[in-house]
Amino acid sequence: MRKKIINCSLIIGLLLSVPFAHAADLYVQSVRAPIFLEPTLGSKRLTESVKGELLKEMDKKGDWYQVDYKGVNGWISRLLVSTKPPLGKVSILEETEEMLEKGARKRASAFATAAAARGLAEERARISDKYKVDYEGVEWMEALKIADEEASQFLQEGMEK
Amino acid sequence: MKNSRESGVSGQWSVVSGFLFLLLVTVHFFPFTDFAASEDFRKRKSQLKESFTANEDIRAEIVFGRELSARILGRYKLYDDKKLTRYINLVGKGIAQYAGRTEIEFRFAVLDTDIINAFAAPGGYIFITKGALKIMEDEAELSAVLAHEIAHVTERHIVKELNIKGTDDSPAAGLARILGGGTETMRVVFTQMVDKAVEILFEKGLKRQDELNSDRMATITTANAGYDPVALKRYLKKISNNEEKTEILTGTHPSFGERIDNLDSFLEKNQLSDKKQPFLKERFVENVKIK
Repeated sequence: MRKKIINCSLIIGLLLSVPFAHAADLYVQSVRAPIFLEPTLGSKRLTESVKGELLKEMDKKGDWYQVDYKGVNGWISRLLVSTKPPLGKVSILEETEEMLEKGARKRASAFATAAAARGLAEERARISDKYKVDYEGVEWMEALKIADEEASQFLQEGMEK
Repeated sequence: MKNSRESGVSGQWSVVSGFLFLLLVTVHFFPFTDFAASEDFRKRKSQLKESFTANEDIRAEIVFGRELSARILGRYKLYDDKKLTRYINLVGKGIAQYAGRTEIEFRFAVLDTDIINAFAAPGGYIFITKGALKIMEDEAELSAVLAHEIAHVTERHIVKELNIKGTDDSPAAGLARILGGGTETMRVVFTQMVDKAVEILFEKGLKRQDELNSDRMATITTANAGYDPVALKRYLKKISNNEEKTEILTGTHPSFGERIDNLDSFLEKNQLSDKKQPFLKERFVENVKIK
């Protein structure tokens, strides 16, 4: 009888441990993601993890995950992590240029999307049925290039002032 | 008799053990989230689905954003000041590093108009008016307003509002399908959708909840980047007295009172009301010189 109770307890124990066995691996999605001491934005910032880093979920509370990051135990916002790795930069401009240069064969739908983007430039004189358009202005915006590192350094300098 | 009772009890234990074993196997082989999906897990699941659309959907979103941006710039002229635009981009790209959707290149520009407003087009195109910059006092306020617009992009509010569905229920996939069609009819449909987006920006506005959510997300992003977390609330309080220059803003957003109350409770809940973080007033004044 005692043996049966022990067996049963073991199975129940295993059942209760299931949620912990499925604790997820979390990938950082933002370029930078602060880790806090408590699950609240007002608490002390312990460190920052960076895009693509893998964090081990230890617990969950509301919009926060408790994680272990390089030996630091803290809380990270749910908005900045996911169970899938983050995507690389996507651009229609470089894609179009690359396709024209290399004559690369791509899937038809991808080609059509890029072609549609190129079409915007080719038909810049075209006016919308309802609204005036300014494609040159859009290109002026796109011509300004600032690397992530430069923006990051600028922010850092401001915070250290 | 004793043996038969014992074997009966033993049989019951076997059934109970067998049931528990089956339950254990079921739970192990079917994800726990699906087995007992709480509201929170359902939300997370839907967030994951939307955060990871294929590259093609993202490209379609950028193409859509470019078209919408051309119409925004058709209505309000671009403020052609490279030094100022560079500064706005440095601040915007700096805070965008604390938001999701790093696959998108965020771009920022100033509109040559005295109205107080800011706009976001899908794909990362963000605009702030000269009027809004004139009333701001520090970089924290600028970062908060840009973060509000970034939230509209990361949450794909406009694309969702247009209610287009792709094969996998993703609105962006719907855009990719329309663009991928490549026919003149599809092009007309696409143009009509962009025109509808213009109406959302300038006349109808987004859902009230999307605006309030963007205010909360802007506060998170601003605080995470290190700026004063109360900056958005300070800015809204300031512009709430300027009825004339905020006409389009008030026509497309919840009332200033509702937005400020929403921020007050969010700041309080997250222990941010009294958190002291930099305003960066000096750097703002140095870079934003508008007549």
